[in-house]
Amino acid sequence: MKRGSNRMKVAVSVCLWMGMSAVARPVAPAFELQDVNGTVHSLAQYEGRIVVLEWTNYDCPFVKKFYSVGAMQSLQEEFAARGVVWLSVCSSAPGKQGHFTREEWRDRIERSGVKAAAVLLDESGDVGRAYGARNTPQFVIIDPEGRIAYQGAIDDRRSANPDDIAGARNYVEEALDALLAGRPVEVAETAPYGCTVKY
Amino acid sequence: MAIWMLVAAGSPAQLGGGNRDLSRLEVFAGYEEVRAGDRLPVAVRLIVSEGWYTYAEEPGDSGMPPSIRVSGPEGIETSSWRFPSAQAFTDSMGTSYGYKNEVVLLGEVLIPHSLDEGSRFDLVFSVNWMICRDVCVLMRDTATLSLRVSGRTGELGPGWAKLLTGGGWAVPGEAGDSSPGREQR
Repeated sequence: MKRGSNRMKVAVSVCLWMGMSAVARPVAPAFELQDVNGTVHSLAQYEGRIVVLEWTNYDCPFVKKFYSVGAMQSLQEEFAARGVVWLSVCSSAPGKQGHFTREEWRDRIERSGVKAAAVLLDESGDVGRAYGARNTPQFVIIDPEGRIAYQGAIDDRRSANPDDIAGARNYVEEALDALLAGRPVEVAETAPYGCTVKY
Repeated sequence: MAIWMLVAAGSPAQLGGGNRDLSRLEVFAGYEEVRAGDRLPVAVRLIVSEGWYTYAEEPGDSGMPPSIRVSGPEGIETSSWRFPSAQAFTDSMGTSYGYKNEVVLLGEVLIPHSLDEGSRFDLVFSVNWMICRDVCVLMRDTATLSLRVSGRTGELGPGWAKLLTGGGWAVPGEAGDSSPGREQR
C-alpha cells in the first residue's frame, strides 16, 4: 500500500511540475515592426526559430558599455551563425534619446558594426509595452515554440563600465546555449538594469 | 588642518558625452596626518548640477550606484561605502533612488602598519558615477589625497562635520553618537 501510494505521489508531482512548467513560460506577444530600411518583420515569420529581442538605445551608457567594445556585436554574430534570429528593438519615441532618422540609424549601425539581423523601430512603444520593456539593454528570448524562455538583463553586473563585462555572468549567452543544446534554461528571468526606455 | 581636501588628478571623462559642469568629484580625508594602523575616515562628494540627480546604493528601476576604487601603498584596505538616505524619483517607467545637488559617501581606509613615520603617501580615488535627467551620462574621474604618516592620529574637526551635514548626514558628535557620521532622519 505504501509503495503504491509513493508511486502515486511521484506521478502527481511530475504532472504538477509539467503543468507548472508550461504555465510558467508565457507566449510571446505577436508583433509587426519595420526595420531601418522599411522592411516589415513579424514574430510569425520566425516561427520555429529561436528569436532574441534586444531593446536598445545607442546613446544609453549601459548600451554603450557593450557596443563600444564590440561585445554585443560579437554575441550577435556568434548566435546568428548558430541559427538564432537576433532583432534589436528601439522603442524610443520621436524626440527622445535613442530615436534617430532612418538615415542616422543606418549610419550608426554601419559605424558600430552591428550584427543583428535587423534593428526594428517601435516609435509608438506598443511592442515595448507589450513585452514589458523597461530598460536598455533588456532582453527577451523566444523559443521555437513561441514561448518566452528568458527575459531580463544581459548579465549580473549592474554597471556601465565595459571592464565589468568579462567577469560577469551572461544570462543571455547561457539561455541561448541551453536552448540550442535542448537543455532547460536555468535562469529564466532576471531584473533588467540600464536606462529607462524612452517611450 | 583638520580636514584634507582633494587634489584632482586630471579632467574627468564623461563617457556619455556631457560636460564637466554637470557633475564633479571631490574627496576628503578626516585629517592630514595619520598613524600607521589607523582607520582613516574618508569621504567622496559628488556634486550634481540643478535638474540632474545621481544614484543611491540601491538605485531602483534604472541607473547604477557609484563605484569607488581606492589605490595606494601596498596593504591598504578600504571599507564598504556608506550612503545617506536617498530620495525617490518616480516617473511612468518606475522609481529610482538617488540624490540631487550633492551626496557624500563615507568610508574608511586602513593605513598599513608598514609605512614609516615621517613618510608621505598618496591615496588615489577612481570613481565612476551616473547622473540622469531625461537622459543619463556616465561620469568618471580620479582624485588624489596626499597624506603624511606621523606618530599620532589626527582629529576630526568642524570642517568634517560641515561636509557631512551638506551631504545628507547628521552632524557627528551628537549625544550618544561616536561614529563618523550617521544618516539624517
